[in-house]
Amino acid sequence: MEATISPLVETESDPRHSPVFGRILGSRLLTDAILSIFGIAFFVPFIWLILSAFNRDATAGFAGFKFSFFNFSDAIHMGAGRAIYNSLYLSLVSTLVATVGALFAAYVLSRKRVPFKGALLVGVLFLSALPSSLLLIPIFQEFVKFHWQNSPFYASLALASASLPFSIWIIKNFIDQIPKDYEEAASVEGANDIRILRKIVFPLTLPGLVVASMLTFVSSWGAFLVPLVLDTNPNNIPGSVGIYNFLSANAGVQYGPLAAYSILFSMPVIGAYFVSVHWLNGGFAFAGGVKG
Amino acid sequence: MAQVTLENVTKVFEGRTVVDELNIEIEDGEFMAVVGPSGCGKTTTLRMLAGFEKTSSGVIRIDNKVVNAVAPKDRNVGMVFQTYALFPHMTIEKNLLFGLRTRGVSRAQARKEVAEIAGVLGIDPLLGQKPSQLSGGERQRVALGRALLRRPDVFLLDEPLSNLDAALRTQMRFELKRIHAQFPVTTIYVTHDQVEAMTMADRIAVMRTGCLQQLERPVAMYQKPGNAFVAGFIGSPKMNLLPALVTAENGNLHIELLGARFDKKTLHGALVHSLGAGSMCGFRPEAVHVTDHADGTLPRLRGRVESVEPLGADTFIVVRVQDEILRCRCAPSLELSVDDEVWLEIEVDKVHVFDSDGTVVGSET
Repeated sequence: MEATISPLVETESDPRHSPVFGRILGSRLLTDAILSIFGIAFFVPFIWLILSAFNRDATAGFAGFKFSFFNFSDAIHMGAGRAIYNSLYLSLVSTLVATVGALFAAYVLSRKRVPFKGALLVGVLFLSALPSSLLLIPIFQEFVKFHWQNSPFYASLALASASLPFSIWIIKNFIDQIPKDYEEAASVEGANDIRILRKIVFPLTLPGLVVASMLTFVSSWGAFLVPLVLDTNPNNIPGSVGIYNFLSANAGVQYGPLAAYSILFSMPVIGAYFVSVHWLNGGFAFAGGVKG
Repeated sequence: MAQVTLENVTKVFEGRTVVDELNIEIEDGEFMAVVGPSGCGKTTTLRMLAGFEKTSSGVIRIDNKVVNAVAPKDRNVGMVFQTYALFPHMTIEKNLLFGLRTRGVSRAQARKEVAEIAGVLGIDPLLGQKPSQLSGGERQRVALGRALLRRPDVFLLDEPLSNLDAALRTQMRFELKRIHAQFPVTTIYVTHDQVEAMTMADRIAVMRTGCLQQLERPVAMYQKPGNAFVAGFIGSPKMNLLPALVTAENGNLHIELLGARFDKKTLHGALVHSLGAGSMCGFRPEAVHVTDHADGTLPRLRGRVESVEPLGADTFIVVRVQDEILRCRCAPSLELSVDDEVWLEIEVDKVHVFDSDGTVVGSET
């Protein structure tokens, strides 16, 4: 007996169930195709970057490839080495200052009774959203007053202060998750606040510190306006500012050295990423000391 | 070793009185259990003793010195937390060394003391491990060891056995008692488990909603509970508390309880409060004699068996008398089954009488 087949009823003879035919017309292939287009669109600039860095005759497109390390030596010759060193200095100093300062502030905000704590915390949160460029002019005026405008050290401090609110927020939320029992147990054992911070809080907060310092490092590494304005000494130009040397009007855009420079400039951040991944894979190990 | 005194200690959290005018004196070397249901203020009291919470009012003395303003690190107390609070990033040995090194003991001397305590507690093989690798019982021992190494004036234990399974709990109760005999430090032991309190303590303080209900030695508290709450809290299975009609006559109490009528002498002609509605009688499961026949001169209740719980040496039966459910102990030889009719002969001198607000009536308190 032949039953009337409605389009929605699936039967074996339905062509939509043929393995090949079905998959071609199925939505899965379409999704894959669209996503592939996006993927390629994102990948192409990276591929161009890597190719151009090793291409003696690099242009804005993909024409002509002559393998050479010349671009790298040219970039270094034009000051990439010094620029990366300056960036490292700025980023490392600002990270150290911001993270250490944030740790102390976060500990107090998390554990101690502070008047107007709620308002303080909201204030910190708002400050972290404040673009540093807003304060740049008044800060610059103060820098001039103190004759700080040629020093990478003070520029680092400015960068640190830009990252400080968010670091405080991250670390404080991290410390909040550590059970107070450990610190209470330590205080019963006779430890004062400094010892508790050093021996108990700091080791347990390490993953949070890694997160906060990574964020500060990357943000300082990419900082453009703050170091540009606050440190006018051409010897102190960090990588983010120095890259503009390759876009000078007289020589035109030198794509090869530009690409090589970009890759050199990215290396430390990528390295820092791998370091932090190793640290964070150690896990958030305050489980085990408390309860079962 | 020190005496501990709480004088009118009160703690108020955001308008709520969590501990209310607590007055307790703990003798030097005494093991005192503080028991009560959740929220009764016992942990808050312990934390005030440790110094983690400030008192709202009242004085705390350790070794006759007022310690209200003294920081936890200077109070020389040893504390075992409910969660053990072993530092997770340190090995067991480092955990045990922490306090000693903090207090300036040399590394060599500290290691020696740690090895000694580890031997006493049987935790030597664990010294190189981290807390997460230990079982609950092992962690508990380490926490104890850490407190012992403190050589404190006072031990504070906050429900230390509550995270252990039943068998381990029984074993640790024995060990704690043994350790207390060996190191007779003044100990304050907070628990919600009245069995722990009864088996371990020299004296028990029962708390309820921040107030001290009774402070007494275990057996005395069992035999003479200070009020209906203590009567129902201490003792397992619980005391049967039943509504009764109680009137006073010539220094005697005339009691009508679920159909039985009997008189109870008040001791030493004690003053009897005016009894209102809501009076209660209480008797423990072992205070009745269960029979399956109705004779004899003792006042008795008649009821129907709802459930039989044989425990081997004893059998507990749940009996419905009129509208009330009672739990009684009977001899296993009686071989009762559900729906059997039984008579409960009441031993009058084991009956406790309470008026409507739980106060004991008619006996010395």
